[in-house]
Amino acid sequence: MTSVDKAKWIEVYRHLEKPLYNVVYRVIWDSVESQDVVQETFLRCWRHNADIRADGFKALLYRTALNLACNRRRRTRLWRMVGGTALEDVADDNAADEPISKPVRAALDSLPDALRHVVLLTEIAGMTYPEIAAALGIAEGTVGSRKTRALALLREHLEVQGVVSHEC
Amino acid sequence: MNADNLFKQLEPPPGGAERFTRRLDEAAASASPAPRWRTFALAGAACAAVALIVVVVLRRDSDTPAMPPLVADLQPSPEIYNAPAFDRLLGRPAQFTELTVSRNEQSAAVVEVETANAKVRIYQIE
Repeated sequence: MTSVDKAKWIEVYRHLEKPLYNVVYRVIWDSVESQDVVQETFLRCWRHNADIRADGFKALLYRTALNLACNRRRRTRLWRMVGGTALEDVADDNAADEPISKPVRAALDSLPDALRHVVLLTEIAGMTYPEIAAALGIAEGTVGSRKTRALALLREHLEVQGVVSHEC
Repeated sequence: MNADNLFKQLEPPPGGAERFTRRLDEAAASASPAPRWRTFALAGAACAAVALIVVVVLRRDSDTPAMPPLVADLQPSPEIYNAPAFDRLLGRPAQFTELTVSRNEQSAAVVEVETANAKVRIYQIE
């Protein structure tokens, strides 16, 4: 790796770290783990640098990040099941420091992965429908329908929790 | 409490870029991409192994002793083929054969009795 290549990758990292982090954070709900996943995402893409097309880079980055985040969340849940309630207790202790309230997190967690990914990529990452379609490997029309369905489910869930009212 | 914070942009923990730079350096140091010749050598070895297996299998098949000939391939000997006993079986007109009868290890005289049916022959042993 030349110093120019390295500088380019670090520049891209600086540019995309925040949106990627925000997407990943809303999957695994842990700031340190999320940053680790974002860095792992960049390292994986760097390893396959030769195979990456410039126009598909963003899609690849988000797809990799979401896959890694889902794997990490699955593994964490497994450990929680094995380790009993210890980790849940720690999470509850830190609840006051969480930037996103528990009912809101629960609403997002209640969505199936397919819907959650679309809502995260549209609302958090600010990606366009074609970009999301490329990242998730679905049709552009599907992106729209999934987003509508996801937002309806979120609103429904939050209304039940009393976080938003019918008038909103 | 409201749902606004669902989509608010959060700041990642500080020092991310510096940590990523370190990890990138470590990955670059440890990465030793396989040279191209090694890829070709592996592919060649795999092909050679497959070819060797094919040759061994074919040679083993050729060493297998030949199967005995099928019954249909067997040619009957002319003596058996021409025996009168096979006339009806082979659809040939029956040949006339001299009837001989032995009684107490001595040949006995036989007289044919006339019948109305040409296909039926009756003999009287004297």
